[in-house]
Amino acid sequence: MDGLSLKEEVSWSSLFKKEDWWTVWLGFLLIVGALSGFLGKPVLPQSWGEEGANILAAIPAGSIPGILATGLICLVLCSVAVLFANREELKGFVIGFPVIFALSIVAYVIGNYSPWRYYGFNDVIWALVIGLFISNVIKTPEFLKKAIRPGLYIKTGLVLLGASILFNRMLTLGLMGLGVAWVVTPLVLISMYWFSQKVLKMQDSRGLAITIATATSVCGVSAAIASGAAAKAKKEEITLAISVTLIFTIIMMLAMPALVGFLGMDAAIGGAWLGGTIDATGAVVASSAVLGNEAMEVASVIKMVQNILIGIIAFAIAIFWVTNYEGKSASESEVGIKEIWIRLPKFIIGFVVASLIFSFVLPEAVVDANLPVVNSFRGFFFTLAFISIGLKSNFKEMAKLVRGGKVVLLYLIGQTLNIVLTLIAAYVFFSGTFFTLPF
Amino acid sequence: MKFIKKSLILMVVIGILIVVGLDLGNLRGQSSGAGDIWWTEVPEISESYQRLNK
Repeated sequence: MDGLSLKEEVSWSSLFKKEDWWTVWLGFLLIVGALSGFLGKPVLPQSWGEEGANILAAIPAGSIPGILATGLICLVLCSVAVLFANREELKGFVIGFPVIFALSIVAYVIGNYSPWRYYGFNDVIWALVIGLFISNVIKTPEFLKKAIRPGLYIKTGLVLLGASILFNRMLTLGLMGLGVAWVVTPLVLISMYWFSQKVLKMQDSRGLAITIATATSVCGVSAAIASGAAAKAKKEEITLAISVTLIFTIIMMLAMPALVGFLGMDAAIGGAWLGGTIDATGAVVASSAVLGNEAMEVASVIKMVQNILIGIIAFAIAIFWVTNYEGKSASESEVGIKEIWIRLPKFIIGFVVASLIFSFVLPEAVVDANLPVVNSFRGFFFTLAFISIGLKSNFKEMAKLVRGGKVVLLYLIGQTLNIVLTLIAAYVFFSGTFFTLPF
Repeated sequence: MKFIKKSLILMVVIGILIVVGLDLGNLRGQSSGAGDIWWTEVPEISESYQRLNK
């Protein structure tokens, strides 16, 4: 991601000259467009593969003009950012973007094949696969390179993600929900990061360590994206964190409900356990549904409450990174507010502001009506981002990160701790022994 | 040790391919799954919130 120099000064012109700031403006242009009714839900390929719906059902003929309009909106918005931030690259961007868009649509179509999507193989994963295949097997064409902007797409997507972090919903299950989701999660996150630095000695891949730790303790792929961007992790590090998370989510999605059944656990405790441990939100719902409605209800809300935490964690990681690691010279004992402001990735400001506006300023009905629009754009910007990340990632670099098995070891130890601590918390808060249940 | 590590990884990958290919989790027909990475993509989350918030 973008590096920042200590010598940079705070300057108003940077608000319109830096791509980092433009991710905030693009995010808010899309949010304002949705709130004003100017922008509707973007037209994108549909789900297929079930009930006789073949691949043609993904893009019905009638949806083609809408899909092209989605591409045009993204092209125009991103072109404005490129025009101000890197004027000399605009022509190359406009030439290459339609191909990035087309590849994203292909990833969306494959990622919406229902039988595979249930197991985690969504558009983000296919975007990575397609990008990696092109860059490592075919070789990325030169004309595409100016449109490969993972930072622009991912940070704009993250500003949009901020809109769905609704702090006003954090007390839905009262203190019991917070007990499971907000006590265990930071404990696991900090323990995993400490373990990665002190025991596994992963000082040369701190970005990877924090990305894996956040993905394990919070909510998988979306947490990996947010924390990876906040810590300015390398593209290969985010790719690897997402791949490891996906594999173990599939295992846990099948194994955890079976374990709850085997142990004869109470539905509320089992639901809280699943909600606090399984990474992907959809996997939480799918696996807890096997245990019945009560378990699914508890698991769903625990996961939602835990998702909220990513807003605080991403902000904390960004501050921690700029004050402790980034560009800090040996002579600096503390980093001042000005330096923090200069070094802070600016998307984090948009991410937090969007979250606060949707949590505390807008009426609930307005939030409910507009979140699907904002969320659909968020999803598509992540797909554009992961096509770009794949196109810029190198298998050899990824292989270096995997070597020695530290990544898998970190995940396994962290997830084991997560499972044990969440089970204790689920029993304490949801057994009815210590607290009265809220339902 | 390397052989054991590689064998374990291969077993996990093959196991997952079998589970996904044959849908052993029997998750087809459900409205959401592991591919839905954020709560706004999963209608059950909002429904559970609305029920508990009544």
